[in-house]
Amino acid sequence: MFYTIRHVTRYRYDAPVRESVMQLFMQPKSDGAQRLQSFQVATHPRAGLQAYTDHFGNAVYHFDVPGVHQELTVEADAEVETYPMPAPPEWVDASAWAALDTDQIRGEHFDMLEDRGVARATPALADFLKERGLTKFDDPMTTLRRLTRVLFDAFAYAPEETEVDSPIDVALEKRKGVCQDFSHIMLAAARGWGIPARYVSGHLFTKRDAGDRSAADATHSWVEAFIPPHGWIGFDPTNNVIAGERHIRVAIGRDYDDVPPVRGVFKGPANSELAVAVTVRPAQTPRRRDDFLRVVRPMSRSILRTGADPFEVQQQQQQQ
Amino acid sequence: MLSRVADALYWTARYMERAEHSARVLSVKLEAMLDQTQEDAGEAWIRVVGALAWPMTEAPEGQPIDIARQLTLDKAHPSSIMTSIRLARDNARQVRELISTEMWEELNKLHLKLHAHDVQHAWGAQPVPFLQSIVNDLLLFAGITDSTMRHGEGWHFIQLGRHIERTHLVSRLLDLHFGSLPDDVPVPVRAPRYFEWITLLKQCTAFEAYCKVYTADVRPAKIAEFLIFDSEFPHSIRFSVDRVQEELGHLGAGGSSTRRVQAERLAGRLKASLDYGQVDELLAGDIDGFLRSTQETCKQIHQAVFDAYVGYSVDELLPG
Amino acid sequence: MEPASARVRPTIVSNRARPGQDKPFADYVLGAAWDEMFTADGTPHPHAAGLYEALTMLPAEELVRRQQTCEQSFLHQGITFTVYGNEEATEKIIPTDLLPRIVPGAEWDKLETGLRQRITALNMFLKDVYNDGKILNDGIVPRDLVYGSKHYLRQMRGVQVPLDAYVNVCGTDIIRREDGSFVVLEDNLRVPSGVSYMLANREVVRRAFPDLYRACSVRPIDNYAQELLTTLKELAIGFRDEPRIVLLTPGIFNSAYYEHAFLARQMGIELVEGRDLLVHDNVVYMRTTSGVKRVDVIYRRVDDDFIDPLAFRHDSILGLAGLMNAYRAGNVVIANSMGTGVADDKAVYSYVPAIIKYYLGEEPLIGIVETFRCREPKALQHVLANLDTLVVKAVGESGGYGMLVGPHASASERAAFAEKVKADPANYIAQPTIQLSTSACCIGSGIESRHVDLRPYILTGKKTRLVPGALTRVALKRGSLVVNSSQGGGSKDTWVVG
Repeated sequence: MFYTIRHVTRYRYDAPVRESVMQLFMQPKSDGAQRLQSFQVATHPRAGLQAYTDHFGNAVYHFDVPGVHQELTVEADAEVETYPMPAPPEWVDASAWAALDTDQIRGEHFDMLEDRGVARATPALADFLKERGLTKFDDPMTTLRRLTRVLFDAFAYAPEETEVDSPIDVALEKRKGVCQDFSHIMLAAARGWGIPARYVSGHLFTKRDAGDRSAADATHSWVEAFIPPHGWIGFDPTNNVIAGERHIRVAIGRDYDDVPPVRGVFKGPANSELAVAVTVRPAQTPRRRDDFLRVVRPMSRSILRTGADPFEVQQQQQQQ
Repeated sequence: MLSRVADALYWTARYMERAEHSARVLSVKLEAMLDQTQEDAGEAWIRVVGALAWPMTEAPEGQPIDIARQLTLDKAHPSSIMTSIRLARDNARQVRELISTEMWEELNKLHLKLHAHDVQHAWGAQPVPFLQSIVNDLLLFAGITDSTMRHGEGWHFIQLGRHIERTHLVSRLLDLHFGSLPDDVPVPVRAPRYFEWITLLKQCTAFEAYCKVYTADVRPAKIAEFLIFDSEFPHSIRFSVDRVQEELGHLGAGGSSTRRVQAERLAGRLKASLDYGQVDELLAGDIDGFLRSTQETCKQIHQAVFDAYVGYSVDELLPG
Repeated sequence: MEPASARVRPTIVSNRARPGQDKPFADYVLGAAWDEMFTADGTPHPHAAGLYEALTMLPAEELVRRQQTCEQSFLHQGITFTVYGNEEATEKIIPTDLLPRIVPGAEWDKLETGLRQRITALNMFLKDVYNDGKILNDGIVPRDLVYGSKHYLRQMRGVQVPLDAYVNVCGTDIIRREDGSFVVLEDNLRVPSGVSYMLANREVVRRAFPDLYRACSVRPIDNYAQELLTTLKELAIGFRDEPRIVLLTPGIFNSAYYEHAFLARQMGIELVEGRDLLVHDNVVYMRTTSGVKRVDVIYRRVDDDFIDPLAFRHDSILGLAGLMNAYRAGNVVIANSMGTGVADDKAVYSYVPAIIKYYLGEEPLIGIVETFRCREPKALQHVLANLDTLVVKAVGESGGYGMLVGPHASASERAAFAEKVKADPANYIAQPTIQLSTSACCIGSGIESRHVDLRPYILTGKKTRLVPGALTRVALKRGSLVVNSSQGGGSKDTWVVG
């Protein structure tokens, strides 16, 4: 399939700011069953774009806007081709557990086995798994398929209930959340069972008739787990599917915090509002205007303000 | 020179000048009280408070000695000598590597003196000598500054700060003696008596200098002429404004040439009004307006200097 | 001017002032620890004889007077560190002891060779763990120890570091064991501080004992700032001939601010804060009164966590957003490099001898203290069973925090600490309690022995440089083994003689 993806991000500030520095994890990957045909980023105000490849192999773009501004927009346009892949097996051999428990695998996938940020084993997670009868089943594949199913059944999809970086206990408590919450819960559970698992940030071409419940106009996330002898397999607990031709991979990390689509810092005593629009459509479909920008983070007090009292922070440093 | 450093040097000088002015105004006033009736003295303290601790929201309460103590030693009072020295030292600490060791040690000694455990006692025993010793310490600091620091850009920022502050403070003090009271002094006060005119001269260290020019014939019009227009007396407005203009000429190119030119123009205009002004015209006409516009111009010059050298926008200065 | 009687004489006079008996040494305790002034039988070491002689001649009140002059001088110069209380910050001087600690030149030379070896290996280790990871693949150092360290920064993987010198300024804490041998207690590879005290102590002590100083032919250390500047310049390969070098400080509220200002002044470079800088198109600039100026080298005294809110702690307001990008692009040099803390981790410490052998094929010239890694079940058992004789430390901490000194702790403190260790064994190591050597200190009007350590500073650019001197830290409480300034420690001048 050919897809065009348009990802628009707009920051608005309630007072003039300057010296914004922004970093983007937005470029779809070109590997596996997916090929990147084109990628363009435009910023307003205009800025020189720099790029590098990070330690997880993601393309990172960054830029700065030195002058005074009160609004900052990033428009990323990508064209991606995805290929159908043979469906992964329903189950794998039970010996996969033993294969996972070798020094080689544990060493190679160290980062994807450790608790990290909000994706960490908590008592609430243990209770949830117990309540749902989830444990290490015959083999890792079966185990994760069941986990995917349970997460889909147990949680309601509810955009306003959590933040992108909420601890998993928030969603576990409410039994509501969005893709980041489900991904983080799945990461913590899988890693707890010794299965290397990584966070995937990307897009989904949503099909309601296929039972998708992800918001169509937002970025998506899911989980890839390393299952011997198959390798990395994508599980989408939000929609209870194995990641396939409609999943467009952008970046991988240990959790959301490793690969947020946009991260930025500005100087100035201002509060910021963030609005995002994402459209994923099969190619040749005419593009529409971005008249449906959705505010995903309302005007909020920024932590990084100049003129903030530096007193406390400067003591934070440890002395050597 | 770093913008922040220039800013800190400038503010060190302003706070030191403010502390010196306060110490002198208070010590002269306390001494003068001995010769005044209680009623006169009480009323005249409104002028002192109005000159040192504005904006004034209500009439000062308590005995003069308590008000003086507060304006000297109260750590929480924004205009106390204690606070001014602390702020001066905080600023100087930021630029510790740029001022001479002698300057730092002198400032540090003053800080330690005000923070000595028996400072309240030292004050209580002999407030006037205590305040005079602070004036002397501050004069010593100014002298050390002139003779141990390179007269480079940093030194010029110090001189600029000192003289902008002095212009502002002297105009304010005169404003409380001539014409009607400023709007932010909510308490009615009678016109100054003979003693108060002498006190005013002494508060500007001008009594002897005045007598040399005008003999001991103390008249408000002559005092105004001397303290506003005398070009050779260091605490006259004219003298300080000359220095402000001169110092601006010694500063670097700045980050914003527009604002730099504005600062120079403002200072030039102020100087012109003093070059061609006549005291009898002023006294017959709008001396309030003149003194207030002088204070206002000080604020504008300050802002323009800040915009030109410290808070300028960088976008036009960067390559690409 | 000293009284004539205090002048050093070429021969040692009779042992008339015996430690523990005669003034001024009446309260001087010679314990199990090695003493820097006296041998076990109470006679002064040959290298300390001059000092001993001078002290026996000095009237008690003169000693007190000089000690006070020395403290006054620190206070007036504002050589202070900041202590944070509930209401406001107060500034205190780090107590400085008047009496120099004397290290014989021959011993110093051996120490110096060993330190050069150690820093060379540690820099190779850092390059390896941020690139190929050979030492991990070869199983010399456990992979999870490195990857699991909170100081291991994935953002540094594959980043080209000038001259492969990750650690440009190192402060190594060395102690002398009971038998007089030097061992490394801790490497400080991130933003080590204290060098200004080394230099300031020298100033005041030289002034207090001018004749003795001359007579001892003390090796000079005044060129430290010059050596540091040279090191920083060497790192700026491919930059302008006269690169613009700045010192990045967290600001005046940082407890080591005095040192930052001091070093900047000594080197004649700008002292900048994060807010003075900006990054544009991967180049670092600073805001000056004549517009923005490019910055080439940053000697930073801001921790990794806070140095770039975009790359590391997002709530930091001390750093500079985009700095890591500029560094990765090779447009700015940062000394020390980021992520060096992984090599001064207290657990990695125990592997340093193996690290030296692995990269250099040499035996380590300076030993380390025997270390039990609680991550290893057998070691954990041993540690829990012997808490009363061990010092237990959290691996990622420094400055004397997160630490239990077993012999000095109460039973309940030990029990509470045991729980912490059991909950997270990998986070702790334990070492036998070592009697740090003792040195003569001015206490009241007499001279007593106090435990000390030794922190030399090692600079690495194109080559490795040391000035012949160090900060000697003193545990001022009688019997205490904790020398950290945050825990009531002081410092004294260190004379390398002959």
